[in-house]
Parts: sequence; C-alpha cells; structure tokens
Amino acid sequence: MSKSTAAANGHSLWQKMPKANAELFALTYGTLVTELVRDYESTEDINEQLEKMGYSIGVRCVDEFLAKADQAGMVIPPCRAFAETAEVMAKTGFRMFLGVSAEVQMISDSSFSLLIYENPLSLFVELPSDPKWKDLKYSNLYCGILRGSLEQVNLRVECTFVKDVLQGDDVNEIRVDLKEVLVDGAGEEYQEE
Amino acid sequence: MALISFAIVGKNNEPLFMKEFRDESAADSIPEAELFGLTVSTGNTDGFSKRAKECSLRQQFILHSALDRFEDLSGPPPGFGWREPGATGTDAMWVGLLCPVEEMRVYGYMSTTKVKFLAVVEDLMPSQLVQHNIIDKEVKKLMIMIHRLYIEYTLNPFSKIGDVKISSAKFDDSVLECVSQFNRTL
Repeated sequence: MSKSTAAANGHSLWQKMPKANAELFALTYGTLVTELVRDYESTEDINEQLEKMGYSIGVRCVDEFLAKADQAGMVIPPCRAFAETAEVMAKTGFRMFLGVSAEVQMISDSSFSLLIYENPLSLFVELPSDPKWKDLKYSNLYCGILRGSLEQVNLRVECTFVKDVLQGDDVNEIRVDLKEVLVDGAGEEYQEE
Repeated sequence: MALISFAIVGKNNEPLFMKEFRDESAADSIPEAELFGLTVSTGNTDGFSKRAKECSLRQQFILHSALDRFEDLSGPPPGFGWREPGATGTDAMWVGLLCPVEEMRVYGYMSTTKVKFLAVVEDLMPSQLVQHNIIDKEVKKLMIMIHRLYIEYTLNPFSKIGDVKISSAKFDDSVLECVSQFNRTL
C-alpha cells in the first residue's frame, strides 16, 4: 500500500468518524493519569498500568479499523513487509482515531520509530519539575494500543516511548520492535491427536 | 510607561502569584526588607527583560491596599458592583483604575470566579487624560491575556488549584512575555 493512499484513506476515514471535544478528551485523560498517580507509588507502575489500558483499547481498535475501512470501500491488503504495517498504522490508523498523522522512520526490517508531532492527549499538560516525574511516560497509552492492535494481526511487538515532548524533547517518538510473528491456531486442547 | 508589578489573588484573598518587573539596577538603594530587619529574598537583578523578581515589600503593600479598594467597588453580594448593566464576558470582568499611588496607577480585573488580577503601572504624566485612556486600554488587553494564561494553567491536570501558589515555569515565562509586549507597545 503506497504512502499516499494510506494518507488519503486515513483522511477520509477520519472525516467519517464521530468527533469528540478535544479539550474534554485531553482533560479526561489528564484526570485518569492523576488518579493513577494517586493510586500507585512508582512511575514504573503508572507506566505499566497505562500500557495495560492501552492494550485493551488496541485489541478492540483494530477490528473497528478494518471494518470501517471495508465499509468505506477501501482495500487494505495484507502487508507484505513490516514497513507497510508501519505506514498503514501511522498514516491511516492514527489519522482515523486521533486526527493526527504520524511519521515512520524505519530502523531495521523489524523495528521502526513512530514520530508524533501533535499529541491530542497532552493538551495543556505541563509536568511538574520534580525529578520523580522524569520517568513518567504520560502518553504510554499509545504503546499499549500499538501492542494490542498488532497482536490481533499476529505480530507480537514491544513498544516504548523514546522521546517525549512533555519531558523536553521536540517530538514524541515511539520505538516499535517486532518480536515474533505469531502462528494462528487453537489452543492445545483442540489439537487433533 | 512600564508595568511595575502584577499579582493574582484568589477568591478568599489568598495570593496566588506576585511578581515585580521593574529593573532595580539602582544598586545604591537598600533592599527595603533590610529596613524592616528581615532577610532579603534573592531576586534576580539582571534587569527587566531577563527575569521577573520576587515582589518587593513595597509593591506587596501597594497591591494589598488596592485589594481593599476592590472590595469597596464590589459592593454587596453577589459582589460585582462595578459592572455596567448589560456588560458580558471580559468587559464585565474589567474593573479599571483602582487607585493612583504616588507615580503609579493600580488596575484591577476580576473573573466571574472571583479571582482577582492586579497590575501596578508606572505613570509618568499624571495630568494627561488622553494618555491615561490609552494606558487603560492596553492594561485591559494585558489582563485578558494573562487571564487566558491562568485558565491554561488551571487546565493542566498536574496543577494544584485552591489556595496554593502558582508554580509553573511555563506560566512564569508566558506572563513575562506578555508584560514585555505590553511595555513595548507603550
């Protein structure tokens, strides 16, 4: 799937999606993160919880993505290389759900970096200057979403936030590494003897 | 014509933000705090456009007295006595000149949630009415901008709301930017 069709698809799918108020969305996520901060002691636990929440979201998102694309008459062929997956995810997927486009930087055949310039989750957010917040990955939800959605299409990945605008960098960068291509199959109980 | 100091005071008159912007490079003057036998808080003496300093005692005194005038103007509950009938939005929040003090003028602005914004502006031509009208308009614009910055600060999920002082580098920097812009236009 070429880059321009992915972007065009993303844009038209975004037009069809019902919209929510951006401020409400950002404030809701902000309250969620502050609640987690109150509940958990260490920033690692908070990051982990955000990732788990993202995972449940991702698992559901991918079905919606493929269904809506199908309804809109778009053809999203099975990806022949991990790079194609990355493009579809960045240009079509992110665009459809969040309205922002991400850029892909391939690092190797099995890993890429997703660069997000505008992050709708972190509108108005400023992390306090206390050193304990240095490890907080505010938008770690994205990592979970990526992991969840790719797992549903049989790709086991690991995602981590490498650069974060809230921590002072100029762009948000998520590193996605492909660990394993999973094999379809029912569980052991169903294997025929 | 320059902005000397700015303060944001909460609805129970608790100070949320106080900064002085004047260039105190007249190094001969004794810091007033020492006159009262108190230790001097280390402010930044780089000069005006570099950093805003901690508010000096004198400015705090002026701002505190202006607060009384605010209460006068507010009148009986619900306490928005200065408003013209039919004024809405930021026009309704603009109080105007609270009091002239020596060569300075103190302006006030109160939001609907009773958060008060006070600005002390240096007045070099006390008798010129025309000049005053221009200054009034500029101060009003400044108040509206800082009010917007305050709103953005409260929208940060990590900011503490209530009677806690505003401690945000982004807010400090943007206020300084607004004030420098104000000084340039006058």
